[in-house]
This record gives sequence, C-alpha cells and structure tokens, in this order.
Amino acid sequence: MKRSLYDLCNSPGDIAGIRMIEWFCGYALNTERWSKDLTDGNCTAEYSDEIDGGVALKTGTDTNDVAQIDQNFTWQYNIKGCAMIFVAKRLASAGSRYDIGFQTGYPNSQYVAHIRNNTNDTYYRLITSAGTTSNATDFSIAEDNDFHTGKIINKERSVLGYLDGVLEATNTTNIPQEVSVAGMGSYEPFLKCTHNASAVAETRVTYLEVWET
Amino acid sequence: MRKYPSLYEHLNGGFTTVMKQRFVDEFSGATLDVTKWGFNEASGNGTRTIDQDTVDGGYKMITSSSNSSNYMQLKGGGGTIRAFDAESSAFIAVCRAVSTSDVAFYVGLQEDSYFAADHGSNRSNYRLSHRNNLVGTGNTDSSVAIDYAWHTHSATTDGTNCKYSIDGIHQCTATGATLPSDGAGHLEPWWQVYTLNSGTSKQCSIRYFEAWNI
Repeated sequence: MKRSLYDLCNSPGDIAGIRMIEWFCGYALNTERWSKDLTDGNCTAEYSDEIDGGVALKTGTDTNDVAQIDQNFTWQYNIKGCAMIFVAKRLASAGSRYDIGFQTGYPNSQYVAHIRNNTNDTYYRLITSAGTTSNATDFSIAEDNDFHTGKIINKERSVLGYLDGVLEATNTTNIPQEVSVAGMGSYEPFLKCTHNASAVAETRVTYLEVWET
Repeated sequence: MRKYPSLYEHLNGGFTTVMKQRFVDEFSGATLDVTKWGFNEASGNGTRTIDQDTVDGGYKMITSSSNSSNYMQLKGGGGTIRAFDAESSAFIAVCRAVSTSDVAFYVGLQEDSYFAADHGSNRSNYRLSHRNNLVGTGNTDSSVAIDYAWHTHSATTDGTNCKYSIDGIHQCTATGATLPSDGAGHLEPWWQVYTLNSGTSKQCSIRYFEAWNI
C-alpha cells in the first residue's frame, strides 16, 4: 500500500504541526534554512568531506569560541509541545562541548532545553533554564566522542532527554515552561560547539528532525 | 494509530540505532537545490532545468549538440564533499533516458571510483558499472533490456559484493578488485548524462535520488 510521509508520522485525523527534516548532506549548508553564529573568522560551519561527515561545527583556538547554527530568530516551535531528534558526535579535544536543542529568543537565549556533551563533565546532561536559574541532570552515559542519537521532548510541565532510545533525564524545575515572560516567544532549534581550552573543538551533526507534538 | 512520531524512528525502527549519513532529493520545486548538488559539463552548452510542465517530470539535462561526446553531471557534494563509504553504502534512484538513440546515463555513487546503474542505447541491457580508480573498471549485465521508460535503480555495496536491482528485482552481483574501496576514496551522489557519438542533443531525466551509509 502506498503511504505518504505525512501518514507515517501522524495519526488519521491529525492536523500536523510544523516539522523540519535536515539531512546535513550535499554540497553546502543551506543558509536559507540555517544562520551561522560564529564568534570570529576562525570558526566555521561547513559540510565535512568525510564518511558520515555531516555538518562540522568547528571553533578557532580563542577561549570560549563558539560555532553555532540556528534559525535566525525564527521561533516556530511551541515551548510546551515540541520534540527533536538528532545524530551528533563531538570530536576528541580538551575543553570542548556541544549543546543541541531548543532556545527562545528572549533574553539572550536564557530559556533553553538542550543536551550537552562536554569533556569537562562526567556524563551527558540534559540542561534546562528558566531565565537565570538552570537545571542540569546527568545521564547514565559517560561523555564520549561517538555518534549517538539524542531526543528531547518538551511537555506541558517537563522536559525529557533521551540517548539512543533510552530515557535518561526528566527536568521538571527550572524549565522554560514554568515561566511566562512577555515577549519570550517560542523555540527555535540550535546546534552549538564551544571550547574553553586552547584547542580547536569540533562537533559533527548528520541528522536533525524537529516537530510539534 | 501511528507507530512512531518521527521519520527518523520509522527509518530505523525506533531510535536505539544511530543512523548514518543519508542524502535525499525529490527534484521538485522551481529550481535544482544547489545546496545538494554541484554541476559540471564537458565542453559544450547543454541545458538543464526542473521539468516544469510535465507530470512526474523531475529534473532534465539535455546535452550540447556542439560536442559529439558531451557529458553533464550532477554531483551531490560538488566533487569536494564525499560522505559515503565506498565499502558500506547504497543508493536508490528513479530516472530514465528520454532520447531514444545515442544516449546514456550513469546514476549511483562516485568520485573517480564508483558503482552505478548504467544505461547506454548502444547496448542490449542495463548493467551495473563499477570502478576502483586504483585498479580499473568492470561491468555486470542485468537481464533487463535497454529502454526509455522510468525505472527504479538501486545498488548496495559492502566492498566485496555489489548488488544491483531494477524495479525492486535483483539483477546481478559484482565482485572483485574493481569494486570501490575505502583506499581508493569515498563517494558522493552522482547522475551523469552523456551523448554517444552524435551531433544532436540528448535528454535524460531524474525525479528521485537517495543514498545512505550502511
């Protein structure tokens, strides 16, 4: 029986919300979809010429360099009802980390929900923040340099973090959902590579899917 | 009731499996997606465009009439981004030759080395063509006669066996040193249209291409 992609991901009668599917594969990053936020000219966000290279977010060597891509202030995802699934890895480098998830636009992305893989932590973590207060919950998986599948589900009163099919963390406090700030807006996806040592940090992402739940 | 909420989970039976790199293009819309494909051409001035006025038309390339061996090719990495494993990858594509003489196409994964479906109006059957640029080229015939209709071509390689199917039916398996190898370089999506010794333009069309690492 022939089916549609729509039918695969939605139940009969559903009116689907917005969905984005990004394969990060081809000739060049689609800059009509993605905005590059690079702290300086030594940071890059380009496709990698390697097997499973995906998009490579690469910093320079200045402390706290950031190589990030996001949707340039396009906030289409409901804070209380959206999800993300991604495949990413962080290359071995001292003081490097990735943060992949959701951010709001107000103020200065202090309302966030994302998964962190950081050489300075012991484990992967689910990070949420409601303005000036944040909450970091350790996964059971040690930080590493392998590809994993991450998943984040934003619910009415909680944020769920998964790795490779297993629920690893649930944050119910210090989450963007618990506050209401005028003009805070909704979510956009972001992918961020940071380093805080004198070495280049690099993160590879080969898939990202974001949808309203 | 849906089984999974995401395309990822449908492709992978959940998300316990870490999916490898994948490339998808449906060749639909106003123009070719140049973030996916680079283009190059032998001397000449062939034309190429989304087939805007044909149902299921996809994307067409028409070779130059000024070059009797003109070729035009799309490379899903522009010749510089090679994300696919020469010893563990696959592709599936829907394409056709439109002109009915002196026309040929390859569709598959390539970058010097390649494995690809091979149509040539000067031959009897479709075939699997494969090349290791450190060794040489090989060809293995299918049982499907050359024609000018749409077909679904697919192939998968593990570096030892390269299996080719047309319209979902396995046709042949190639083996040996002329298969692509990691030592000979990684691969990118590839569709090439070319003229077989003719002074007239030749057209082929494509409407779907997908590749993935296994």
